[in-house]
Parts: sequence; structure tokens; C-alpha cells
Amino acid sequence: MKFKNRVIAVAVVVFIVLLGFNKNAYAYLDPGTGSYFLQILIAGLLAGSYLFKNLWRKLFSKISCFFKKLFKKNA
Amino acid sequence: MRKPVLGSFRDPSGTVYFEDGVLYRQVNLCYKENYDYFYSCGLYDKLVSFGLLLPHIEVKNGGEYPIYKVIKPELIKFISYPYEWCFSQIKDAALVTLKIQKLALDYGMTIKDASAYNIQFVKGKPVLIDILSFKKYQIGKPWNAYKQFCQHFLAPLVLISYIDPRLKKLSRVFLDGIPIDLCKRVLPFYRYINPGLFLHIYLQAKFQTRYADGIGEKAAVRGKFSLNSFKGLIESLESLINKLRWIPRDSNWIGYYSDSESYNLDAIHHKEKVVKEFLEKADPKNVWDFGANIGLFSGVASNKGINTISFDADPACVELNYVNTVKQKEINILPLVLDLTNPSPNIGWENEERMSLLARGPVELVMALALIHHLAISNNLPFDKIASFFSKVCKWLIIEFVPKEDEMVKRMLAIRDDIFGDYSQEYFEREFIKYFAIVESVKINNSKRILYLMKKRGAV
Repeated sequence: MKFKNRVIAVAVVVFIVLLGFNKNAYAYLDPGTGSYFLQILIAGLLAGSYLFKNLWRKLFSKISCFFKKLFKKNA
Repeated sequence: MRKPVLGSFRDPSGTVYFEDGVLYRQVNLCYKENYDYFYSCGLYDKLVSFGLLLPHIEVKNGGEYPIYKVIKPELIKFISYPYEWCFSQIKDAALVTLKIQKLALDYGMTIKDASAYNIQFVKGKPVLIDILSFKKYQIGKPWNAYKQFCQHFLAPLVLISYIDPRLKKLSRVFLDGIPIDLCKRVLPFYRYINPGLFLHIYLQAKFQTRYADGIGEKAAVRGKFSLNSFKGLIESLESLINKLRWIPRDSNWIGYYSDSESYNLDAIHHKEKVVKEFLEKADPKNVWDFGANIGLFSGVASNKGINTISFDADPACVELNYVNTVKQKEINILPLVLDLTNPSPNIGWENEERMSLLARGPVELVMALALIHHLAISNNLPFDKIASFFSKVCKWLIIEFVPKEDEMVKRMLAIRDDIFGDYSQEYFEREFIKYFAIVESVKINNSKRILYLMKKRGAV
């Protein structure tokens, strides 16, 4: 009985591990390992660059609005 | 009877087919969740309203397994391929793809592939035609389509911009886009001072080689790619592509009509008038203009509302033609690069995925203006072969005969032996009437050239 339970336990573990290797049904395109890894590696740089540009755009927009109002008042 | 579109088999989400001459797209059950979300979240409506996605209508729910739905896309008048596009067409198609990806992220979706074959030019603008490209965005996952985007769009743009426009033809050889490592090898090292090129060409190529055998489960699982990283990637590609430029230089053909000794202004105006009259007589629904140069006479057809494909072998002429159509918001002309002596063949799996030029015909009318001497003299093609080809392609033909006395022909024969004893108007007519009836012929004012309107024998 002990042996039988052990066999069942191993089979269940193997089954669960194999489940983990199921690929996403929609990943029909091969992303390329190198390209995939490059994105992960530079993720921080890309996010930082995006946030910085966004911040700068918002700041620039606010400064432009401020000067536009200022020139309108003076005019 | 159902007839599958031969290039539509790689995506298990669905397939495209013809039934009784009408084009349909089958959506499969495995795509149900993404399809329903795509509509319910509002992304479909947004993309169609911006003119970025080809509209579809639902025609059938369910059916034989694995059908979930059947939808009917708007019909595209002419299918073109990325290897036939000029620089600016590839650039506009690339920017549209990135714009769609950016919008999709705002709705919690992403595009699972970034193939240039998913884009077609409709009314002068690039649009996405593959509605099954969208899937729900998975937080933390990098862009699956990044490599494909770079191969299909970035690599050809970089090669045209920095090396030579003829390298774009590699897109025809490499069906899934020009390999990044090949692009890296060709680009001079000093170009990598550009951070975008360094990242998306040099580093990506290095990483592809280094990690060709995989990166291991741990690295793949641990690696995170936030939404901001994703948006940063798209913006980085957008910024790089926006800055890429190609100014056509060293083309012998751009100034053809202004610099030519064969035409003066009076001759050009008369030719335009005659072409217009011939078009009115033939009344075609569509036109192919071979050797169109910068599209001067394609414009005569398009101004009459006729759908016109404007072919030329010179990438510079096609570039100028396309830039002008965009400026004028022209919706009836599609300029394409095509060498008539070596036109696009059937390629892909079983040579059936991408159609040859002939397979995309026939067309109602072909214009072959200022072309016959290039085919017959520069390319040693007998008149019979030329006439036979045109008879396979069109019902009506407007063709210009350029005699040996013409300045251009004299220039062609100046440094070579004149082996063209049969090159004469009489022989030209004798060979062409085997395939066509000559409806009318007009000599162009102040020129030695003659315009013909011909109709294919036996055509209704």
C-alpha cells in the first residue's frame, strides 16, 4: 500500500509539472529567445524613459499654458 | 463552394476563405474569449473610427466545429505585398502598427503578431486587415511580436535609409522579414552611435545569437515587463522609425518628363488629352499603369475615379509618386515598385502563400506608356512576347509606340549594335494584332511617338 501511494504521488507530481509546460494556445508566433530576453533586460530602462518623457510632456504642457495665459493678460 | 485563401493557415484563431466569390473570415472557438473582449471593450470601434482597422460585419454565429463566428471584411481592391512598397509606404505601415499596439494597450489588449502582411493600403492609407491579431494583455509579459516587427519593418527601413533601396528586395526572399543579424552585419559600425539602432538592431542581433539555445526557465519566469516598459518599447521604436529618412538621389527617372528630349509641354498635354479620351472609350473599372514613373498619367485615370495601380521599377519614382498621393489625399492611386521584366512571383509554402502579379489579375485596362522601347530594346523582348503578356493581363490596352527616330531610342542604340531590325511601327502592329484589335491610334503632337488604344481579341 505504501509503495502504491508513493507511485500515485509521483504520478500526480509529474502530471502537475507537465501541466506547467503547456504553452499559451495563442502564442503561435515564435518571439525569439534573444529578443524576448533583451526586452526583459532593458525593461527598467524602457519604463524609466517612458515615465520621464511623459513627465516632461506634462511639465512642458503646463509651462506652455502658464506663459500663454501670462501673455494674454499682458496683452 | 468554399475556396480557402492559400496564405491563410498559420494562425489557429481563424482562417480566410472565399465562398461564391465573397471573402469571409472564420473565427474559431479557441479565439472566442479574445474576440468577444475585442468588441466589448470598445477597441474595435475605436480602431475603425480612426481608420486603422478594416471594418468587418458579422454574418453567421456558430457552425461546424471549430467555427465560433463568420465575419465579412470590406473587400480590398488590390492586394499588395511589403516587398512591393516604397520606403514611405513601409514607414507609414510601421507607424500604423505601432499606433494600433499603443491604442490596444489602453484597452487592455495587445497585438500578438506584427507582420507587414497584416497591413494593406486602402484608399491610399495603410490599415490593419487581420482582426484576429488581438489578444488580452498579460501583465508582465514582453511583446511577443517585437522580433517580427523589427524584421518586417525596421530592418528594411534601416537598409533603405542607410545603405541602398535595392536591399528592400530581401523582404521577398525572407518571408518572415529580413533577419536582424543580417541587418547588423550590413550596417556600418558608426551607425550604432544612434541609441535606437544600437538597441533594436545591434543588441537584439547579439542577444539572438547568444541566446539561440534558450535562456532557461528561471530567467524566463523571473523576468518582468511592466506596462510602462511595454509603452516605452513602443515609443522607442516609434521615435526611431519617425527619424528614418530616405531622400531619393541618383535616379535617372525622376526628371523623365521635365528633362526628356522626347517631350515638350505641348506633347505632354496632348498625350494627357488622348489618354483621357481613350479611358472614356474603354470605361474601365480598374487600371494598371506599367512604367508609371511618378504617376503623371496614373493621375489621368484616378481623376476619373478609376482605381489605379501605378507600377514602376525605380524605387525613387514610386517614392515620389506615393509622397504626392499622400499630400494630395489621393484615394484612387496605389504606387508600387515592380520590375516588369521580373515581376513578383508566387512565393511561400508550396509557392502559394503570396500571389504573383499575374495571379492578382487580370485587370480591365493596362497603360504601357513610354515603355515598349525599354522592354524591346533594353531587355531584348520580342514584340510577340510583350503582346502575349499584355493579353493575359488586360482586356483594354493603351500603349505608346516609340520609334527608332525618337531621341530616347537613339540614345539607347548609341553605344550598342542595332540588332533590332524588326523594331518598327509596322512590325509592332503586325505582332500586336495577333492578340489585340487596334481600336484607334493617334500621333502625339510635336513628338514622333504614337498612342494606341487596343482591345483584346475575343473580349466582351
